[in-house]
Amino acid sequence: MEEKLNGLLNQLAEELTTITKEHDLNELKSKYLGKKSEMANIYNDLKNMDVSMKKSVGQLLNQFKNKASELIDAKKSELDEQLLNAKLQAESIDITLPSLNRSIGSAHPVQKIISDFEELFTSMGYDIALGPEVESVEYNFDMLNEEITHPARGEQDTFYINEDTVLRTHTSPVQVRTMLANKDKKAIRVACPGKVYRRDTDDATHSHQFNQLEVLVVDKNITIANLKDTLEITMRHVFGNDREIRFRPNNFPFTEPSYEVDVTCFNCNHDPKCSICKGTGWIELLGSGMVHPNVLRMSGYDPEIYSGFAFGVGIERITMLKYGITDIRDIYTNDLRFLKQFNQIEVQNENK
Amino acid sequence: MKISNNWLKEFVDYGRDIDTLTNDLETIGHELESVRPLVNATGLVVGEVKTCEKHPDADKLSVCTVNIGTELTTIVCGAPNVRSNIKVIVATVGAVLPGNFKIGQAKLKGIISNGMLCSLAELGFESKYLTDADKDGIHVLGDDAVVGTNALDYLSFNDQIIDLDITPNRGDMLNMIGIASEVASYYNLPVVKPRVELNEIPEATDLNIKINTDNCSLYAARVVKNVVIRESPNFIKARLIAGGIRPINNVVDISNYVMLEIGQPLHFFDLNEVGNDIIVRMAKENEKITTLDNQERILKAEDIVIANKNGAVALAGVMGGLTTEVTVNTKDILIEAAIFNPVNIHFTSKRILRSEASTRFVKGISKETTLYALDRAAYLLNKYASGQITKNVVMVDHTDDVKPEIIITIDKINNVIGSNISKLEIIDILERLNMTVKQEDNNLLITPPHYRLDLKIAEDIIEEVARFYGINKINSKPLVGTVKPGRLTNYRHYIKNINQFLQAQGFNEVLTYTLTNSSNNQDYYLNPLLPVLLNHPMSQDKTELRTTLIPSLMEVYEYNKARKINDIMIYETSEISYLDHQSLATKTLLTVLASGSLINNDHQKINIKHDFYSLKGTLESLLNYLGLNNRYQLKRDKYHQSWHPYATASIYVDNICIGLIGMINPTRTKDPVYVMELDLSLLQNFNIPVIKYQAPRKYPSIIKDVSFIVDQNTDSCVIIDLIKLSGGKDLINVEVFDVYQKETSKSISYKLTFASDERTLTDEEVNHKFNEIIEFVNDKIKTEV
Repeated sequence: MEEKLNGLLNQLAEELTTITKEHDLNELKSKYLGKKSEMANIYNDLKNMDVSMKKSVGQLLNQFKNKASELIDAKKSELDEQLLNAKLQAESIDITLPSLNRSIGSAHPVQKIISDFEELFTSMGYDIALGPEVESVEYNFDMLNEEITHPARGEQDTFYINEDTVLRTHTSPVQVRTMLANKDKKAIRVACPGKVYRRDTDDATHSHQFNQLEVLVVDKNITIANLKDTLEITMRHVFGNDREIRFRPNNFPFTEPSYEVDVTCFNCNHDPKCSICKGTGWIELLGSGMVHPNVLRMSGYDPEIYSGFAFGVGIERITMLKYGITDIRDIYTNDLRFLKQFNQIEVQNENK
Repeated sequence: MKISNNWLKEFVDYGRDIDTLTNDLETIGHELESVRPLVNATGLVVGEVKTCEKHPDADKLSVCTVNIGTELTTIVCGAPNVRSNIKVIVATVGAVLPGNFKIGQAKLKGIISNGMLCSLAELGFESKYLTDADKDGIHVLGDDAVVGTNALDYLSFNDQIIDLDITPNRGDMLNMIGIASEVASYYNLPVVKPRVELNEIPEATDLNIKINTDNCSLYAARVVKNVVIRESPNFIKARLIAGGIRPINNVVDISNYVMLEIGQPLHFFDLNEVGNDIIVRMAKENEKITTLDNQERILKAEDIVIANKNGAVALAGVMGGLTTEVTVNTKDILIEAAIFNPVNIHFTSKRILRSEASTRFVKGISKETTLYALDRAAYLLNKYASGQITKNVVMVDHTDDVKPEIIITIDKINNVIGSNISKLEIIDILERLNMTVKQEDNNLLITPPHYRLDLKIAEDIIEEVARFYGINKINSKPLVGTVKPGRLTNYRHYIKNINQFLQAQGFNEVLTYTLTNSSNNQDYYLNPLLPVLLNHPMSQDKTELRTTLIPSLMEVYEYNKARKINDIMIYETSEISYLDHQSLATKTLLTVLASGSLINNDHQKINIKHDFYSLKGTLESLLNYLGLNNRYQLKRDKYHQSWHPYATASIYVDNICIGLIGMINPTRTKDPVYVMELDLSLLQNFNIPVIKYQAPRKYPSIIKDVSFIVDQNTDSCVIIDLIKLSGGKDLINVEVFDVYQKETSKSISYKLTFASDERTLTDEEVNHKFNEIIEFVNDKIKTEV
């Protein structure tokens, strides 16, 4: 009997190897385990056997049933897996076809630079301060110590609204507003971004509208050495860790002493053909200085107690230098092929 | 300021090459514009035309035999004024003229020419510097020119011009003595000042001067008689040209020469025309004067004039009058050297004419300079115009002789610079700059030299010390002080978040111009804001400040569309200024424009175009992001014809209109364009809730659908409002899920969600409520369910 059942098992195993469909497997299952199977016949014969025989054959039958089921179930899983694979294979796609892409929009490069400055200066404990673009002559010129004969006040250079009101020509009036608003005359650290206007004809390097960032620090014992340090931090933040700066004495009404600030060229190493520094190794960048005592006094700060520094940087100038833009008008044209070049993250320059 | 290097060296022998000089000048704050030779040419010699005959084959050419010192040579010349026995500038074979024009042997109509006879134009001079004779032909040299020598040396043209950008405070550097003093101070060298040796004749100067205004602090005059008017010596002409001034004749040139040399603008009157009585006074309103450019000028009360008994004869500091002008017939000259109020000269010259003279008056002049220039001019008129100087200066002097001292300490200087410069070094710098330094306890009492009118306060002195010490030697020092967190303004914080939101949605930020024209400002609103107008616009398209950003964004749309860019998603945030009941007001606008595809992939057959609902989606997510969930709605209104009249809406938050959204009238654009403009200043003012966590609802919800057939023109929200009104607290959401258009009506399907925070709702009670709602809606509005 044992031999017979083992024979059946071997036969089943052999037949299973030829099965490829679930339907055939079901047939095979009823052939070996169904009501008309050899196994069912043996079950039926059990009642005619004596007790000891019944017990041993019963055990053999159970063993057979378990093993046969195992074999069939294994085949079933195998078939299921094959079926699923075939189904998935049928769903195979060309992964190289174009995506359903929604790209992120870009910040305007000028705004990127402004945001970057805002982040830098707030991280150093400066507040951001803003002022109106339509500004009084008093704040735009008078309180910044610009004498009535100063050429910048002329209608040739400034957009007047009426004789007392102009489109601000710089962000410096925000200095005045900040100092006046500080009723307790406490120390000040502010950075003031914003649009300014000059009566220039637009060309590759001039724009009647541009943005500035004004930085003002007022406290006791502020020195030119502090100004230099702050400028170094700022320029290294924008143009890289290796930058050095230099001062060139100049004259602005609202600062005394006043300095033009140059930064070492980030583009070349004294290449006479460098398109940015023209081989001088230096790039002219901004105007700076120690706040003129008249400006402090007019805004209610006693210049005997307080001193301060200020600088104003042209955002478009920085933007153009940083990204290699050669025509300022491109900044205001808003060609999407221009704008979309700025929608990615940028690596931060490390601080020295 | 254009500086003749030869002239400068006459006053200070600086003993360095020109590059070192200009580099050093730059480090002390004088920016270099350029250095260039006065004449950029080589190989020019003095020649003498020996014979001059007509060219046999060319009417306009002459064939000359020219002695160039080393040889007699043949040169063909086309100038009408070429003739024998004149001395000329010869560009010999091998010479190079301006523009890298090389002179070689040339055959002209069969005759070999060994060089060229030159005009001044060929040496590179602009025609404004040339006499009429020089404009028409070759330049004829004086008889004293030595044949074979360098012609540029003879003409004093062998010079370099250093062009410096002088800062507005340094009026003292708008003349050669001032430049020389600065150079001498820096290199610690002496200045050799120009000579003044007056041979006055015994006759006393007969002038009667009155100043009837506060705006003239000094009026000094001399008389020089019997001048002989002729050409100026070459060196004067060359130096005037180097300085950018056209030579006229010896007398006129001397006044300009002294101005360039010393910085005092002078005026020469024809004494016999002006008379002996001079009055300085303010002009009468509408007083007239004919200036020497032969124009009648109508004056204002702010103008200072020089007058005689008959009326105004000169516009002080700006221009002389025609009637008293020095002419070829002038014999006796009155030299005026005066100091006028810079503010008056500023405004008068701004209105009439800015000149070398007015610029210098505006910067200010010291009394010492004025009197020195007066004598120097008299001396030169004597020397180069054979004039006789009458005895004594006549002047009225209202200048203040007391010069206040500037008081400063060494500590203060070092505290501002952040340096540790020694007292010895500081005093040395100040004294080199010709300041008088007295020491009193810790204080330095400083008197600046008379010509440094810009030095008034302690900070000016600090600047001078830093300038000469070398500001770049200072080491940087970090700021110290209380550390506190820096803060963006609320406004910038708000904008930053909006930027992040819109960029994440795929919108590109643009930056456009504030200035626009009135038709743009009136183009998108029935009641546009009152614009701020410019006083003197630069062009017709930029006459006022924009009150809406929509035209700017439309312009960006058109620009890109014209370049075949079809998918356009842009936005701008900007402050605008406008008039609110005559007074200036500002607010910030956010304007968003969308056109073309929102999302597109052809092979997937997906192409979602922007439409009203896509932009509305952006609007709603933005308002949700800004904390205004469930507080906004769209309402219909009448709009400017630039909008689609039936696809445009007003946006309300808490029942306040904060902007509009819609489709641009399709007759105006190639593709459908959708725009919204929001008033961020209003938006920012709404209180927004703080985020407070609520646990998700525990009990299941039940969803019921219902459709209503309504009139074509009924908005879906009307029914939503009714459903909500009758829904009770367990109706937690209503939304539209389908709209089906019929002929004159439409079917709108709504999904109603019921749930409770307290228990699981039964089907029975929800059905009961649901039927109540349907009855209520049917009651209120004509519908079919």
